[in-house]
Amino acid sequence: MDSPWIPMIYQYGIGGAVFFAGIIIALRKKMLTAAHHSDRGMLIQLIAGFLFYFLLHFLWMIIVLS
Amino acid sequence: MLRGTAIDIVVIFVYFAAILLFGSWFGRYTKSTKDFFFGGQRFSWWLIAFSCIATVVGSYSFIKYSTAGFKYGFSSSMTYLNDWFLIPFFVLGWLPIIYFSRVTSIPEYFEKRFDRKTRIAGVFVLLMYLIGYIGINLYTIGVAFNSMLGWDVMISALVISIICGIYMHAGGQTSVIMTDLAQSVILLLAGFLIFILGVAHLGGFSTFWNLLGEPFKLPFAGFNAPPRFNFVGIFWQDVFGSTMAFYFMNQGVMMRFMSAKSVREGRKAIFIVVLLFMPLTALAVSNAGWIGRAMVNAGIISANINPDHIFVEVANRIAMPGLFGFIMAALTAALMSTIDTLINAVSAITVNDIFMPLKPDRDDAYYLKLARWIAIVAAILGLILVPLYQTFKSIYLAHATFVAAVTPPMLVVIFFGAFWKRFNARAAFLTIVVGCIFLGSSIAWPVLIAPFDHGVAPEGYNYMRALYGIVVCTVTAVAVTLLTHRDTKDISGLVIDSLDVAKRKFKDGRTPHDTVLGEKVAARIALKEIEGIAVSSAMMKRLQAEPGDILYIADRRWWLGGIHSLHVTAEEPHSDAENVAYLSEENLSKSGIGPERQILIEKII
Repeated sequence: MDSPWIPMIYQYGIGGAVFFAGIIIALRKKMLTAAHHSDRGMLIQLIAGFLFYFLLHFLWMIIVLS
Repeated sequence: MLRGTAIDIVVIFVYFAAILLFGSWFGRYTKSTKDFFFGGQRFSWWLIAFSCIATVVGSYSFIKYSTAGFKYGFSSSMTYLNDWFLIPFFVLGWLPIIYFSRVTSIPEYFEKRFDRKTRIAGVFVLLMYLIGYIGINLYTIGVAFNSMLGWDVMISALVISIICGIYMHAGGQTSVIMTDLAQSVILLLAGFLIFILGVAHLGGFSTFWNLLGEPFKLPFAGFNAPPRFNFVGIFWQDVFGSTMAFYFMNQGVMMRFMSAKSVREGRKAIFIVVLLFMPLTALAVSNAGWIGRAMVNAGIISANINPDHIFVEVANRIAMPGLFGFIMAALTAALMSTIDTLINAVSAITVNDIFMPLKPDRDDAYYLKLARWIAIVAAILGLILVPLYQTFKSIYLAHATFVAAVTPPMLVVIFFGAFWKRFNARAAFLTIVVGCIFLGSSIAWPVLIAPFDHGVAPEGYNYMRALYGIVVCTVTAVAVTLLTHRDTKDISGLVIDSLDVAKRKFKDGRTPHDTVLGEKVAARIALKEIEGIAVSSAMMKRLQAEPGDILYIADRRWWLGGIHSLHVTAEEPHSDAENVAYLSEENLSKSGIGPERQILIEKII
């Protein structure tokens, strides 16, 4: 467990599973309909937020380790 | 011991007086229990967002995160940057459920969703949690004032509790939200000021950066070491304990989102909070520790400094007289904005979950008066707990142990309650009881946590207790649910499967029309004794509204954030002038909009 990347992989592995489970449940329960304009917007915002944090941490790691 | 100058003390007193007057002034907007607890469901997203930040940053945040930042580096920001994983469950499930079902507290949700017994268990656990939290906040500000200004811990806590008690007594949720707006700006400003002045003091950003070693600058702590600050422990304790409790269980936060003018506005608020304000807050509360470490490496500060004093040491070195007082005011702001939320939450739970079921026939004025007095009692109870907390070796330890022991059972019940239709009342009650017993046992016998420790040493089990609690409660919830019969109770609108029913109930049985939203339209109010609001046919078309829809009318000045506004039902359209909206004098008075004002109207649902 010495690699500094392990925490990031663990966080986005477990956290990502929870995050996408939330979206899948919402889609299955029709809380979110991909065909609907505003729902699609919200789905994009949610995934963009996930990518924002992933990239923030990824770039942060790269900058420090390089 | 460091002391402020006379100018610093004047700055602090001016701040106290200003907040007291500011908060009390907003008491004029509180005319009912709905206003007291929820601010009348009228606020804009940006007010809710600022208010959330003021609530999430407690008085201890600056001290605690600066200390962690000084000892462990940039990974002190971990807890502020891992909230996004839970957001789909919040914005797509929990937020619309609580908003549309108009529940006033988590225990009330428990009774509607499960039964009376589960509600009582929920009341008991939540009140313990909230009052304990008030006590911890009062104690920490007492300690901070003691170390910086030399004031006695108890006297400091007493002064703060009196101020919070008074403006909460006068104002309720509107006062909380408006004072939080001011206080969140102050505390973020103070945090950035420390960073800018600290970096300048060191000779620029590149000097600051180069003074710090590589491991110090990583965004994550070591995976399972050191035991008192490791990644895996903090991940489970923070994401599935503190963060989940903040969004799903914290009565104060729930009331914040209930005070939003719409679910859409609540969603905007949470997006801004997590994507923008959380990273900024992480920097604001932690950076004094990072600056402090750079100062130690540069030989400016002694390497033997007590890490708990690093925030004060850095603030004292970079701040001139008056500015130190401003930073102290920011610390106080952080405390008051957290504590007022907690006090308001205790009022809400006590009135709605204890007094209303006991005395259901009283009028709203009675409950409102009661809520105001309970705000004072909550502040006093928190104050009484201060001497108890003074006996703990570490307040952080006491806090973490207490929170980890309380949150998992409630969170598992809330989560399954909202997202699993089959989850029944018996399982909910047993999850709370069994969860509390097992979590209590793990304090006596920490070895119980060992199977979940991920290699973390026993000193770090306070963090891993969250994972242990979640597993125990989840197993109990699933096993009891599957081994018992389904509930026959009607729970439509209270679980994710039936949100259309919740929306319909929100509209008093009428069909929701929220798939197509129209424009925001400007109108001029004319008085007419009607129940809702009547606008012209052309305006109804632009709003995409039908008679019976809920409209939101607000003063056109956006920066009021909805303080002068109202939810009102659309009547049949009129055929008079196109930009005229008819409204009764009573509704106009409720909205706070002056008769000469132009308004903006939008469809809510």
